[in-house]
Formats: sequence, C-alpha cells, structure tokens
Amino acid sequence: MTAGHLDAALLAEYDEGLLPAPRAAEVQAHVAECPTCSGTLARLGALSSQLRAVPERLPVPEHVVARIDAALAAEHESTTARRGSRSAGVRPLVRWAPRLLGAAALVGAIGFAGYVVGSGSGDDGAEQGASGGAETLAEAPDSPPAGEGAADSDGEQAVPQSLGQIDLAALVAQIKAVAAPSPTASAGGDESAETSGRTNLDSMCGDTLASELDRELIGFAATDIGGGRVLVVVAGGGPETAQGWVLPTCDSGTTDAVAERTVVLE
Amino acid sequence: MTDLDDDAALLRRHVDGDHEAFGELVRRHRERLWAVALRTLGDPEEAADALQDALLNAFRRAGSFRAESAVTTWLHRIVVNACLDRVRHTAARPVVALSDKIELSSVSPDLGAHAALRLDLEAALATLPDEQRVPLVLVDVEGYPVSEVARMLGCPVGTVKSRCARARARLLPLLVVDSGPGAAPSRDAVPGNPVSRDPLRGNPAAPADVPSTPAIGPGGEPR
Repeated sequence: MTAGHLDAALLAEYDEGLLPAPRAAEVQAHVAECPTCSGTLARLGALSSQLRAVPERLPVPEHVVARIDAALAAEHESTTARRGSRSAGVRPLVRWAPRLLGAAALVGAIGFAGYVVGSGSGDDGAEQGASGGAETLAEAPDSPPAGEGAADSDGEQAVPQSLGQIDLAALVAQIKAVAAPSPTASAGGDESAETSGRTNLDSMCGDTLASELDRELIGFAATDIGGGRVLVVVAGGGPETAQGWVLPTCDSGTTDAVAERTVVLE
Repeated sequence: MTDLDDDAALLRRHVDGDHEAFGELVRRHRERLWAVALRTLGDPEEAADALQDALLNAFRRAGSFRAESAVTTWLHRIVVNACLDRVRHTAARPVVALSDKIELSSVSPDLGAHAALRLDLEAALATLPDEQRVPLVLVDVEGYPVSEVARMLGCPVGTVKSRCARARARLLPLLVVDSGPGAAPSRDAVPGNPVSRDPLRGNPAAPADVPSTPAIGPGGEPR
C-alpha cells in the first residue's frame, strides 16, 4: 500500500463512526485532500449498498434439494407414525436412558421403570402443571405403566442416534408426570417412589442452560447422542413448545451444546 | 398480499396434516433461504446442513407460528438461527483459524483492478472468517438492524460494527465496486416487487446512507 494513504480498514471504521473524535478529524482532513482515500471511502459505502442489492435467491444445488426433500419425507413419516402410536415413539427412551446412565438404582428410586428423568424442581413442576403444562399433561397418553417399561428394557430396541429420533413431546409429558403427578396420569403406587427420585435428581442438570436461555427448566434425562451425556428440556418460545438440548455435562451452556431441537407439544 | 396469505394458508394446512403443504412452502422459498444460508456460512456443505436443520425445525414448529409476522420472515429467522447454531458449534474448527490467517495485507489492494481475479460475492464472502462474515451478511446483505444482530450474536453493538467494518475493508479489493454517482442501487430503491421480496430487505425504516442505524423496521422479527 502506498505510503501516505489510509488503510481501508481504518476508513471502514471511520465510516462506521468507530474512531475517537481526534482520530476521526485527522481522517476527515486527509480524505478531504486525498482523491485516492476519498475514493476508497466512497467505494466502501457503495459496497454496502451493493451487498444489499444482490439477488435474494440463489439456485439450490440438486443434491441439496434431494436431501432436504428426503429429510422432510422421513420427518413426515415419523410424525405420522407417532400420531398413530404415541407410546411406541417413547419406547426407545425406555431402553437407552437406564442403560447409558448405568444407574439402575436411580431408576428404581424414581419408580418410573426405565426412565431416568428429573424435574427442574418441585415448585417448577407444580407451576408447569398449573399453567400451559396442565393441558399437555391431561392430553398426554397414560404414562407407560411400570410393568410395560420393565418389559421393554429387556427387549432389543435401537438406541436413538440423533435428537430427531427422540419423541421429545412424549419425554416432556413424562417429566411433567414425574414433576407434578396428577390423579389421572400416575398410578397410586408410583407416587412415593417418584418423590424420592425427584429428591435425588432435583436441580442437578440444566440450570446453567436454562438461565442462559432465560427459559424455564422442565427436566432432564440421560443420553449419549453425539457425545452428549445429558438431555435437558426447557420451555420453548411459547407455552406449547419445548426445546431439548443435548449437553456434555449437567453444567454446560448453549456454547457447548451437542444438539438442539424444538418441538411442538401436542 | 396474495402470496403472503397463501404462505400462511399453506402453513395452516401443514399443521392440519396436509401432506403436500409444507413441501410446497419449501419449493416456494428454498432459493431465498439457500442464499441466506450459503452467504452466512460461506460453505455449501455447512449451508446444506443448516438449511435442512432449519426446515425440519420449521416443519415441527409450524404450530408455533404467529400470524403477526410473514411466513417468509419466520422461515428466514429460523434459517439464520440454524446458521448461528452451526457457527457456534463449529467455532473451534481449524478452518476458522485458517481463514483468519488470510490477512488483508496478503491481498493486494490493486487486485480489484484486475477483473479476471475478482470473485463473485459468495466466493468473496467465503474468504472472510466467520466472526466477520456472519455480522456482515446479516447487516449489509440481509438488512437486520445492527442492534438485533448484536443481540443474536451476544456481543456489543460496537463489536458488530467493527467486525462489519473490517469485513468491508477485506471485501473491497475482491469485488467490483462502482462508486460513481448513481452506480450503486440505493437501499431505498430496491428493484422488484416488494411483496415478493423478503420483508427485511424492503425495510423502509433503514436509511439509505446509514446502514448501521439500529432501527427496528416493520420487517424485523416481532419481539
């Protein structure tokens, strides 16, 4: 670059009003006398305008169109399958959660055979149940009975490899059932066990993430998706949505998240 | 307004279980959304991943769409968020460090004079490090207010402005930039039918000559 001319980066900062007043005055004085630098400054301004005016559409490569169509078709099929048999969509959790956490004792303590889930806290759970969560809970299919869960955990079922394979909506319903057992959704025998499970897992996971997102912590479960260890579920943007975050540890925040998915709770 | 109404109707039909509706919505807008993803991420593979994530997300979240924003704005924002997720999750990749090493000094300022060496916009954007390319695309290309981009990226407004400034300085020698009077289209006079364009780009609240004014226009995502 020719000595005596100003650097484009400096001119760009000047253009953005980022320079301290004395420096800005120097640049202004130089630009007023230097056709080269005033030209650079003009081109910087024109660049922004040109960027705004670029074509708003670009042709999508065929292979990208194909994979997106395939992904949407698969999603459509799994959605249809879930609607037909909600409990079937939940079942993989029964299998993977206890096996991966390797904490059969905890599972027993929770009394929710096969599920390793925790609520954010008892109070949060009650609040959920009292607000938008109540509807979800009431509409949720009956929680899988302990017997059914136990039977499933002995079967050979695929461990979900991605967050997309988990029926997050069903998991949220399960977590809420643990956090705020309702007369219709929980069998009487489970209640004391659920209480002790909640005590064990209370506020252990996801507090960091929930406060970072400023969202209510709904609960958490164990997972090994993408190298994550914990699936934390927080309230979504609306009362009818929830987000599942796969984190390496209970204390991880969004920057460490392995995966994230938002679901509409039906 | 017919297109906008049709988009909302398609989304409702999808929520109601219409098997074809979402696909039609995607066919209508994928070229626009692809452009956003490709420019923001600067890499076709990353962009394809982000677009797929975003569309699956939109497919699942359709029930949470609120009619106060246009469907295009809603989709656009979901794609931008998917891109930001990818940038965050891949921030430690060596690729980022590598592109960081392409300093402005390694590119002759005279390069712009040689037409054969000039790059198209997408290729030029791809030479920028993520931390500069992302804010520049969101502010200059997509027309988001600086304040909103700062919020999206979780950094101060001054940082966004400074990264945009550095990005422009690096792009300048790579692109054909005409600064003659009337050579560049005014931001206010974006050609084409405003209805068919993304609302963010026809934002009348964005002054033509003050790209960094943190004004929330009608095209901005309602809070």
